[in-house]
Order: sequence, then structure tokens, then C-alpha cells
Amino acid sequence: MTGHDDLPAAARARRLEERLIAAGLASDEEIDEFLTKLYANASPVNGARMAARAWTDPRYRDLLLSDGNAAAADVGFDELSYQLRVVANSDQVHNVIVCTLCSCYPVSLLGPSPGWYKSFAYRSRTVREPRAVLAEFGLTLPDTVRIRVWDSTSEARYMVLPMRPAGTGALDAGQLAALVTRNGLIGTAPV
Amino acid sequence: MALDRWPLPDDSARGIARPREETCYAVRFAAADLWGSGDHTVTVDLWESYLDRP
Repeated sequence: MTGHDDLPAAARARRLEERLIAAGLASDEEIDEFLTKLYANASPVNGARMAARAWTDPRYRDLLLSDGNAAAADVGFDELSYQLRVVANSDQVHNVIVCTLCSCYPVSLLGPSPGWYKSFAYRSRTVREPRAVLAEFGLTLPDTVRIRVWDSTSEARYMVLPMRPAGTGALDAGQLAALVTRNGLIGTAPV
Repeated sequence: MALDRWPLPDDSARGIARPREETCYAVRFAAADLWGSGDHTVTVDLWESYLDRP
């Protein structure tokens, strides 16, 4: 017997779509329309802009950390279908996000999620041994830095606010945003 | 950390039009309490009815 895990993700998704269509629950057009809407303007550039703004504007930083949805609305994302919570890294605390159940993640702000984010290995190991997982991403944290893992749900999704790199005092918001990566916003890279 | 009232996933997942809303708490566990080892923490969102009174 071939387990579903043996099939590449795209083939598994297509089989699921075919079942939905066969059951009369959705059409190909409806699925395409939904996906187009989901991925329209979805890019880590959005999360990066928010992070860079928080680095240069203390009031925006406060808003971002206390009310993620309001901070997202302020940069044009006023229809997030979930609660956005942003957690800030410091020299004492490093945050990393995971969805142990599936792959929940703020798509519009981070872009389509990377394959590894959906992998069983990342989902199961990040909650058990995050320090080892981060090291495999090339991020070796000093033992003095505490790691906080945040498990996302469909309703509540997290984004990490990385620390502003040293020596970037002369950069403007656009240049700062260009430094921020998707992995930095997930917590698997320093920035 | 107590968060706002938020639709209960048990209802939303079933497609119930007006899901029950409950206060949701972000609860932080020490990894050592969950797994017996590890110096990190794991925070999960738990709705009111998932929690028992001590």
C-alpha cells in the first residue's frame, strides 16, 4: 500500500481537490480564485517593511507588538482573517514560530510558506529541540539566549520582529527592509 | 497572557456559521515540563474550555 506521505505534496493536494470537485463542494475555478486571492500581494517584502518601520519608529514598534492587526492595517493589510501577534527578538530572547498541526503562518506578510515549514521534521523538532534546529539553519545562538517557540494556529499567527543589525544607523527604511528575510520573520535566521 | 475572545476552532473547523467565542490564552510551558528536557519554552493558544480549574 502506498501511504499518502509517499506522494509529493502537489500530487496530494491535487487528489484532495479532485475529491472536493467530485463531491460537488468546489469547482476548479473556485479553487483557483481562492488561491489567487490568497497569494495576491503575498510577499515577505510586506513583513520586512513592517519590521524596518518598527526599527525606526518606536510608536509603530509599540503598535506592532501590542496589536499586530492594527499595525498590519497601517501598511494596507486591513483584512487579515486571523489574529496577528508579533514577538520581538532581543539579545536575551530569540523567538521562532512553527505550526505543529499543519502550516499556519501569516501568508500575506511572509509570502507562500517554504516547504520545510510544512515538513513533519520542522514541525515536530522545533518544539523539542529548537536550538539544534536553528543551528542546522546556520543560526547558532549563545547559551545565554533563551529560545521561545510559538505554536501558530489558524486563528492566531505569529511573526518575529528580528533585532536591527548593528552598523545600520545610516540606512533608510527601504534599505533596512531589504535586509529582512522571510526566515528572519519566522525566526530561523537572525534577520 | 489573556487574549480577546476568539471563535472556537472546534466550531469553525466544522463550518458552523456562528462559532462559539471564548477567551483565548497564550500559555507558555517550560520545555522541561513538557518533554523532560530542554531549556526553551513553548507557547500554545488555549481556549477557555480547554483549560481545567486547578
